[in-house]
Amino acid sequence: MARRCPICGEGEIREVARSGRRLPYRNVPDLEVPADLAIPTCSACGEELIDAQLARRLDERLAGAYEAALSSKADAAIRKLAKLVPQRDLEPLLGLSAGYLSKLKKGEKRPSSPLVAALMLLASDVNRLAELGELWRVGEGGAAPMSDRARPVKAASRSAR
Amino acid sequence: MQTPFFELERVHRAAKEQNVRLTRKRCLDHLTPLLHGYERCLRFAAEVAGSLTLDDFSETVRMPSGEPFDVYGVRLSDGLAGKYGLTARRAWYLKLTVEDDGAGESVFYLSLHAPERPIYRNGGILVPEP
Repeated sequence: MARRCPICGEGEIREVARSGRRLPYRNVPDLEVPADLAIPTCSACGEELIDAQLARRLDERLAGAYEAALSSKADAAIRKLAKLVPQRDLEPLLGLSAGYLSKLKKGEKRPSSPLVAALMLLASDVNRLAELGELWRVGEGGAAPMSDRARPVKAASRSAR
Repeated sequence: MQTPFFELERVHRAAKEQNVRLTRKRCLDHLTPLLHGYERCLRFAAEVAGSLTLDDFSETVRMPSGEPFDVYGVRLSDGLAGKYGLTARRAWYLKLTVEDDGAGESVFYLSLHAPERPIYRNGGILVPEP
């Protein structure tokens, strides 16, 4: 039997399973909730109520969706960057071993959230590639041989952003 | 000293059993970016409820539904803040009620997030962190 909403008092709390619902998960603010997962929801104010049992189910189901979202974002960023800088030059800038980005694209590796963040930021402003090479320097006389190689072949104008 | 509508003993008992429910908008949307998994958010909420004292209590308010909710302001202990990586976010605003669904009592949090304004409590004012 449906219960009255303890917040608004107008609606009833019912188990709702439908597509199009989104929830924050880790650093993704709007991950889609699997359509078959029922969440107790107020029919009037729309508030969703989550207990320990549902929290476990959400973690189980959203973890997969989260990994898929990371892979998708990494893939999009790598494809954009690949048009501007060779992958072999991008990998050392990010502290990745040779061939790592190819493995990500093939789905053989799962990207970490910080790596995806770095890839997205670089893809949104490719001028950062050269800056990153400079930022890795540890001393005044230290060499940063990657910085020149990593300069984008078709550097985008900052003013064009 | 102000006293909460729901005796703290009931809150503590439910929290100890991990019988906790949270709203999405005013609790989990704030907690998940900090604590990641939903289960971890629920565990954190249970531990905060289990740590409440009368000094943390502020007032009882009635929601439009007529249900009473107790408002607390909590400054996390070193242990709790360290355990959940919240040493830079120690001040929390809580609005909760105790409900009984027939199977036992549980703590229902309407709100669990950083305070937006000073909270006047039995134990003194809890100010929002910068």
